[in-house]
Amino acid sequence: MQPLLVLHEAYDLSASWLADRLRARGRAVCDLPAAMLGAAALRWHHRLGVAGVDFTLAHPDGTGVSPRSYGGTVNRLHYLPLALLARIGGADEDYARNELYALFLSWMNALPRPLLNAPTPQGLAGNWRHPSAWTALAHAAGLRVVPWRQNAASDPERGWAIPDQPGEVTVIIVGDRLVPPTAQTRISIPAEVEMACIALAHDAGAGILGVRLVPDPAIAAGWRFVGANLLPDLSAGGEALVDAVDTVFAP
Amino acid sequence: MILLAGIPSETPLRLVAEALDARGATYRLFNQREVADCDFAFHIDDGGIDGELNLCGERIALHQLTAAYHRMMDDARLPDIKPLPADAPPRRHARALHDALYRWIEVAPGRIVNRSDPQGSNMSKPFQGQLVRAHGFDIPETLISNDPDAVRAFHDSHGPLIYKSISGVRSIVAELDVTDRERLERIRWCPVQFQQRVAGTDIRVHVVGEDVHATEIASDGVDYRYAPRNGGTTELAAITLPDDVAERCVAMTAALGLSLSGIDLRRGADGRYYCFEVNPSPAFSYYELNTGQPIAASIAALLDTESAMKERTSARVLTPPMRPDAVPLSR
Repeated sequence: MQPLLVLHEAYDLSASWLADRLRARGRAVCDLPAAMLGAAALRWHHRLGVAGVDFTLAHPDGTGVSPRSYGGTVNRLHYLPLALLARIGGADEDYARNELYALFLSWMNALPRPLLNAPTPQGLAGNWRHPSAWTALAHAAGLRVVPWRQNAASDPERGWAIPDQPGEVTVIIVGDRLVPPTAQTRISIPAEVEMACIALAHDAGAGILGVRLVPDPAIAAGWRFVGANLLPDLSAGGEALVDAVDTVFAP
Repeated sequence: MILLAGIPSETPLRLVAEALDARGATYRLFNQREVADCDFAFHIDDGGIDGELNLCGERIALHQLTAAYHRMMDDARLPDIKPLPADAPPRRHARALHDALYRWIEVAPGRIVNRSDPQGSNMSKPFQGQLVRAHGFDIPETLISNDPDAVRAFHDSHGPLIYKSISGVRSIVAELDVTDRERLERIRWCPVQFQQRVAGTDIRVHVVGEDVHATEIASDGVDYRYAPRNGGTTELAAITLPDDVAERCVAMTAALGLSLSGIDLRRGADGRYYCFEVNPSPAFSYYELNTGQPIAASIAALLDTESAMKERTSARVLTPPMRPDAVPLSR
């Protein structure tokens, strides 16, 4: 079985935790820190044409990345590697940033499948939607929602971050499974809410999605959607989350 | 009711407004220059999406709006806003109103031409190229690299190469020449895209829903948009695409989540159609005004869904005559 690629920044301890837990189960895992992708010495070869799409990222020390080396990908890199950004500056900084994002979006789209999560123009680890878009998508998926209100007096910048709500829990959707947080064993998620959360992740094109719910005893469903997170703390799902990831990549 | 948004004198928006007038369609225009006299609010709750738009005193419930066509400029660059300090109340009002309006456009039910999310593929040409290829179009042999030796080898094996930006930043397309080959060492800091030059005829296709307007471009420049600037010539002529190519253009536009697109094709000497780009916010007026193709009329018809529904259900309305330059695909 080919190894699983886990792509992440060094500070993403959650991704490292997942890689370790998968290894402990005997799965071959290649932990690829994003800093390697920011190395000045890295040689990029990304090809498109009649034969399809291919890439080879070759380091002078002989290491490298190509899609044929792996059997699937857990992608937690939501923007350009910090090590790469640190090398960009000067008058052409914005241009270079745009060009490099375009490159990353393209080569990462050729990463081996299954790919959790696939890159999008709005975020390399999935579509980084505005809370209003998440709310509309959650409503369409069948979830009751915490109302979103916005007008010409609202601060556009503040709208991106929704503070933690009293009693809030984050459940993690992995493929077709809902993984509740291990620290909150007493919570009960009704089947209709579970199905709607899975539908939301599906509609969002996210193989892994944290869904933030707040309790509302006044409604039959018992929970309201308040937000979504493309980079949830995977360790909060414990071994059940590792099971779910393992299932996605099962041969 | 239809919403138009932008600067009324901007040519594509003006042409669509005129086409809606010609149809007798009901629409309102959010003139960005009048933002100070406008207001906007929307909400999403268990009942769905609604809110209110106030255009200089006229209050419109958002559920009344069935379609929208927007070509809004950056509100920070509006002439009345640009000179103001960052914390000036009119500037903050303009920013907040535009942000709220954009957010609503993204989630509003009805026909939106176009939403922002689906336009994203245009920010990476090779990413979009992968989607294009999946829809049956050829794409030129392409190498993106920061390795000068690899580029030289690619050049040697594929012949003349074009280089250009791969992001949404507009760039002038240029052909790799001897001088460029000598300065290839400069690509080491940032990978650059090189594409095999495909000889053939440029074709711009505007897809509006299921209408297809194709324009053949004859030019003596590498990039026809800039040929006149460099002493060359560019001539446009309306053509009819083969049915299968037109159908692929429509299917690709729909699959990208767009209602309107400007697709850059090149018909190779071997008859194959190469696709270079799908523009999600095409300034179609350049082509319409040079060829007479009724692109704005197609957009107006697409937006005017209420009238279209009435037309479909009314026995008194005859099927409109087929335009020679528009390929109907809903057979």
